[in-house]
Amino acid sequence: MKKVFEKIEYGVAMGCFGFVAMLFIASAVAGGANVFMGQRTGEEWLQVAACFIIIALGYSVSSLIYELESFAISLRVLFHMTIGGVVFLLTSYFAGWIGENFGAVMMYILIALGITAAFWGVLVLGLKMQADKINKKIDSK
Amino acid sequence: MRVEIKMQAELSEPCAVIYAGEITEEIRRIVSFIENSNCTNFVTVNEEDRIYVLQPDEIYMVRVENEKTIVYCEAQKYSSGRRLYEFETLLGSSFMRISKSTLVNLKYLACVEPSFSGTMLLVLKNGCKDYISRKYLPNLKKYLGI
Repeated sequence: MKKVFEKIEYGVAMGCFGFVAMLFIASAVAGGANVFMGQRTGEEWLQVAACFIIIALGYSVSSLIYELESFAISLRVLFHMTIGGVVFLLTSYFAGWIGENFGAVMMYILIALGITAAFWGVLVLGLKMQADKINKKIDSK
Repeated sequence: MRVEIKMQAELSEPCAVIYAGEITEEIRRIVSFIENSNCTNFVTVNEEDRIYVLQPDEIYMVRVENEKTIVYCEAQKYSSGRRLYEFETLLGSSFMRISKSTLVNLKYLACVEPSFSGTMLLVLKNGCKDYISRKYLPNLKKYLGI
């Protein structure tokens, strides 16, 4: 149960971080915060923030599958990435971010794959940094 | 069974040698009894019909493979009828569990490698490798002072 709460906490933190990072980047790209944020109402921005948190929770909570070591690693990776991707696509659909034409849907699937790959990259990078730290300690023993 | 005790003043600790025509269940029980007594710090392992005596320092890794306990030394591997938890008790604090099925000698850690599966692969100085499960990674980090 402690692990579940840890993952929820991590998911909420990552969602908030992603939302704030998006505000900074998108504002810079759009030519100013007022220009970018003026495109939506306060209510809509709250909804966007909630969607970011839900998407991050989808990826973080589903990573609990890695605790079940009786399953093959490939199966666990598949489960994690599928759940994360599906939560992303469903949230985007209900938030109205996905357009109705085929091109827009494909674009969103590509974005979902990109986010999945980025999430994966961060995970592997974190693990590599952790491994470097452990190796330094082993060498000094 | 005929038992004979020879007194030798130069021996610093008792040493038992069993002469037998074949390894019987009775002999296995005696070996097990001697091993479990407090005056010993060695383990016995099997290779085919032979029993070998190993010092804990000679053991690199103990792993359960296909329900058999396999003991890895520098270049050789042996099997044992003991359970992993028995090895854990017998070998003491110089060994650490890295997963449900593996015990490693902390003296022979070579490095860890991150894997794309999101776990760490532990490599020993003799080349033996196994994944460190998430449950046991904090113990290893604690041992290393991280």
